[in-house]
Amino acid sequence: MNDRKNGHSRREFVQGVASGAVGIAAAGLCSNLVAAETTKPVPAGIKKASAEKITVLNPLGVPPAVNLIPQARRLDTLEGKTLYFVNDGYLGSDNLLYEFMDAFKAKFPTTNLVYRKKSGMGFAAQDPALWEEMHQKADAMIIGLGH
Amino acid sequence: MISDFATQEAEVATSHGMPGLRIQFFRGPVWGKTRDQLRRMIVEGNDPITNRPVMQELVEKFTTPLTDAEKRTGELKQSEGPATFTDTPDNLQQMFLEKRWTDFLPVVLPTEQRVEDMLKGTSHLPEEPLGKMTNSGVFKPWSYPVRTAAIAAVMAGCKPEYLPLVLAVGSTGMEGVSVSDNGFVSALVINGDIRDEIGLNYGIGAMGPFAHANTTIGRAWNLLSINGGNCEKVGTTYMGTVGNPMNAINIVIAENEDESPFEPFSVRLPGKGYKRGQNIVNLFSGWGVLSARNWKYDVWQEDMNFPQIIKDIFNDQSPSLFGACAVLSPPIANFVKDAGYDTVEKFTQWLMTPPAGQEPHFQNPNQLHIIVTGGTNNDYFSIGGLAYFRSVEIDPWR
Repeated sequence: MNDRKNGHSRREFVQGVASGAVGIAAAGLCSNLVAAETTKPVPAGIKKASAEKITVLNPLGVPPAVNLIPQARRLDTLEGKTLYFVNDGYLGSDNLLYEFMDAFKAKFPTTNLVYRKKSGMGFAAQDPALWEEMHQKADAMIIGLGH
Repeated sequence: MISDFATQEAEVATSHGMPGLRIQFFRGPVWGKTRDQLRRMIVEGNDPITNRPVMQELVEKFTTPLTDAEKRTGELKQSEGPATFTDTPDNLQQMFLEKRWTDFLPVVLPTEQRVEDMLKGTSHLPEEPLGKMTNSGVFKPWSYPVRTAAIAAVMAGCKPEYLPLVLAVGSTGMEGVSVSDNGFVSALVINGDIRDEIGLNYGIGAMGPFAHANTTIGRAWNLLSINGGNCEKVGTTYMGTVGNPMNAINIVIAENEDESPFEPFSVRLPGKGYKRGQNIVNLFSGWGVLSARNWKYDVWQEDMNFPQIIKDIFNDQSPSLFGACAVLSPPIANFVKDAGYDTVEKFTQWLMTPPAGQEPHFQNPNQLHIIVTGGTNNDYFSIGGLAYFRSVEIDPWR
């Protein structure tokens, strides 16, 4: 006997209805649970605790005071001035500064361009001899800050 | 200066008294490029922030007259803000998160009672100055008292008995996470009886987040760095290009002194005179460590020559910045001892000895470190680059 109904066998149909019934029943149970959850009142203690205010301590340390240093005076022109290009030692800084020097040379042919590599251990090391030299001779400085 | 550092450099300049410092930005990185590339990309290119020609901006920076703000002198006062905050716990958690006062995880909110309870872990007064952090020497230092470290310990979930160790670390001023774009990691190696006293794990999972003490102490170090030291703020006080997953709670190692055939790390430090059982925290920094199984010298066979494997991996480490550090499980440490190296000093001497006719890879035994921790359940160990920086006694902070 051909039990097929709409392309499905009777067995498949029954199984489908059964699982569907189970699914519907399960959904019904679940929806009842969901409904129960959404309508269950929040205990008063929990509601009060979440709305209650508390006081906490500031976790921050103390930031340093900042003593302002005014900027060095500006130049009216770079023509005829001495401009230092200082390399702090970071890889590639020399090549970049050489390219900037070429560009400045083309744009300001009367400007005296001086290249220096900062001495000392590490990029942040001081170079008092170079600072004194620039204090005496430089009108301006570009330092490549690699780190 | 490459433009990715714009926010940071503005903050550095301000911290050094020059909030209006004229900085020229361009597209980076610079190293690894030819002069032709640098000329086209940078010198003839635009400032990526303003989209204006770099050369034009440079000339303007030299010749445009100073503004009144750029001529200012005097003191720029900075404040940490009010001493307390009052709100609901949820709102406070959100505020702490938005202000970047956390490690992006919920914190234990530092109420006065909790901080007071935490401070019972030390005899030191809350207002006593503890340390300063300069974040790798780049920024002007933030300072913090004992109370700030106690607050960090509360937020991390520490118990009061952990506080002396947190204070010992905080007293050094060494940040939990360095600002460097390299993505360094910090580590603690703890020796002494305090390991058992506060429940530090030195068995299975020793280097990982598998014990309350290890996990919360590592976290407290970060929270103290973030809030006490103004560290770990992405874009200003943290620039790690790809980051480092070991930054989460740092590496917190308690040595397995009972199972190790060697003297504890602190006892071996030359010139310190530390004794076995004495409570010492040793601070390290570097790239971190990786399982030795990941190196090309890894084999898995009946007859294992672990000392030679360690030597081969060590000789593949860069000797330049952080040297080499091996974290050996007790079985591996005992392999080393049974091979004839009954002290770390002997083993280090052999590790440094190059094949005939070759130059030594490492010039100084202080570039190599051996730490013993972990379980006895297998023949595993880890190697990487971690340099020793300093040690601090913990007991003075009780």
